[in-house]
Amino acid sequence: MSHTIAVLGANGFIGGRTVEMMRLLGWAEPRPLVRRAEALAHVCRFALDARVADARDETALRAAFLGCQTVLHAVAGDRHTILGTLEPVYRAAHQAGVKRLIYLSTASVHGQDPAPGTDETSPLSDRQPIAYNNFKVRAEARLSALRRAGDVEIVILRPGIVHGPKSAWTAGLADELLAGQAYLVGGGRGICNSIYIDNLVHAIQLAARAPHIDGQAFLVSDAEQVTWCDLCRPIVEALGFRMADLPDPPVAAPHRPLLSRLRHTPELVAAYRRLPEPMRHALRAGYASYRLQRDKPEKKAHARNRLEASHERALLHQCGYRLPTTRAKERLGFEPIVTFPEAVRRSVAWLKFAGYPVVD
Amino acid sequence: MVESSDRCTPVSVAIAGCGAVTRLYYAPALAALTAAGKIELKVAFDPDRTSAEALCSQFKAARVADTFSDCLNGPEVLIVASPPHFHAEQVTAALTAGLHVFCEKPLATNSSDADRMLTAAKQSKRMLGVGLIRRHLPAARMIRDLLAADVLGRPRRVHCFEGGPMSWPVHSPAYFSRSLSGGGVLQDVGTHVLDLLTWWFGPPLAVDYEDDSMGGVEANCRVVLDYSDFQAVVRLSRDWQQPNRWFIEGEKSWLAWNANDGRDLELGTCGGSLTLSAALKCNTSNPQRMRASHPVHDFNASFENQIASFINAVHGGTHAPVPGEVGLDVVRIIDRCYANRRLMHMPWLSDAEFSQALALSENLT
Repeated sequence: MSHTIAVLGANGFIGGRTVEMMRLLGWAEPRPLVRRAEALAHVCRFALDARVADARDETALRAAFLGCQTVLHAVAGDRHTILGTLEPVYRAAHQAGVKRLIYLSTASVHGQDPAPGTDETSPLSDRQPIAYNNFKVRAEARLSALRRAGDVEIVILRPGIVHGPKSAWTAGLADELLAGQAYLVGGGRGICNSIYIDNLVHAIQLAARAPHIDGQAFLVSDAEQVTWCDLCRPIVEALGFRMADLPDPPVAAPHRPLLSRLRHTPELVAAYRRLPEPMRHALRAGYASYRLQRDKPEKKAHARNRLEASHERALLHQCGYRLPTTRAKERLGFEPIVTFPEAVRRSVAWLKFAGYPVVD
Repeated sequence: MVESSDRCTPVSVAIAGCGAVTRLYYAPALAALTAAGKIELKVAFDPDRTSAEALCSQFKAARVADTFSDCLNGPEVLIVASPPHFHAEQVTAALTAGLHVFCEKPLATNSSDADRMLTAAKQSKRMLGVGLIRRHLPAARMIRDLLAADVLGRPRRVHCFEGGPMSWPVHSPAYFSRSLSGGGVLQDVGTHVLDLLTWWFGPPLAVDYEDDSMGGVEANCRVVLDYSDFQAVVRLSRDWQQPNRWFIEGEKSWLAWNANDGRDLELGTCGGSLTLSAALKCNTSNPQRMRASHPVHDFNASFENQIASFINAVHGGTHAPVPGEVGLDVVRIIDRCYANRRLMHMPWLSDAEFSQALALSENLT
């Protein structure tokens, strides 16, 4: 009997590549789920049993999950999406007879610059300076509570910096470079706990099948230890820039205005890029209007030329610890399937495919 | 925006298909034409009756048709805004019943259907127009004039990228099927792009085509059209956002245009260091409606204008401004593309994945 995996958030860059690899490598039958039908445009390159269901709609989810053995929760979004989709998804999975729910969490539950010695057994705090980390910590706790009252197994993956085609760290960096907004704090010498998208999908494949891993979380990353400089250089040079061109700007205060912090949150930036242009235009205009009213005249001239590193990026770029993947290796049999050099080669090739001005 | 007309009686109109394109574009255009006394919407049909009811609630004289055939008794003009695979059947039926028909693009999902539609128009001696909105955008018309006036010199290179993550509000996953829509991004956005190219430069000598369909419909494609002196390279995507921009380079000058922007163009001389960024203005005034420096139509006004010009042609007993033959030309190019399609190179796929992708791409649904 084939293994059918419902992919919630199939239009996202992780969900989309998961569907693609499943379909092309044949290790499971994907059932893509999205909130709006138009979001199926990319996965419908394949003839698949694609469904439309809001991840908060328990009834719609139950119908969409029927016949699936596994559900992958790869829905990105804000606090309400992160925390508001857990119960409906878990309950629907339970009612539909799903065996296992794989939840895509993040290594950021340990902070952007985790203390040496951190691993999956380290205690998690939901009082971190980065709000996103706290939402994910609470999401993991909420799922554990749901598991205690339900039959569906939970497996949590904690990827670090997921890079590759369409990611915020590949396409987002390219966009920032072209907009003159890219930077590296401390020259990018910090450790980047990277994982190429295909390696993450490989971990998802293993997490769907491995026995005796119910309730466990797994840190996953690329095989190589790399720096932020290593991650950024291929993109920077592919677009005709030099690493020396990247500024090392001052770091914004941790308690910056909410809107300013939101503007530098990769997940929100990625969500913003998925919006239709008229909506993006309206948001830009609204934000510009807000800034115009808020800033004092003397601040405005300075602000026009100001580039600040977000608190989150500063922590990431100066990270001093490589998170271990020992547990994933031992219990999932996880070994990355794509090397880092091959990963960045594919990423650059994708940039060209996607219409970026890659220098030959 | 609506041109004046000598005829006093409004043209009676029916519409088939009350989905997104009708809700977003046809309804406002029909409302303006109704207010101008040019038309009267009599009847609307959609298999989803709620959509038809929502449209009719905006028009005093309109009623909901129970069946498509109910649209054909009484009105002079039928607007077909149904999903593409219904176009051939509905257009042919309406022409045969004696109505003039304005059909939203694409005219049909294949050229044999389009041929049948044109034959029906000839036999019935009724007008068949096609909704290729970009021909009504002032900027697109200006580009045609600049090319005809040899402002750019002989074309050397044409390039365009259009697309982005799909945001058009479709009803169901069924939209992404070849049987319902006739294809993917090529059939959708590509219809507009290929129409502009043939309008500006004439029919291509040869067409090379590749896309990323692997059993479904394409989200990305690349079309290269050969002309005698140059190639036009078209890259379309429902996947990733890039500036939706056209670039036309001639021997003397170049021109850049943001797709669907009715008003603005950029011009520069080859080798020059300056760019002329220009907003178009009307240089002939309509004494009733505009001053000499009145800005040209934006996209919505252009949409209204394309319906108005078809209705004017019905009024005047002349020819459809964008006739069905034009729609057929585009459908034929798209047929050639799909008939000779190759799988795009997707450089992020492993060798094993690409082999399977090739196998799946041979089996389109």
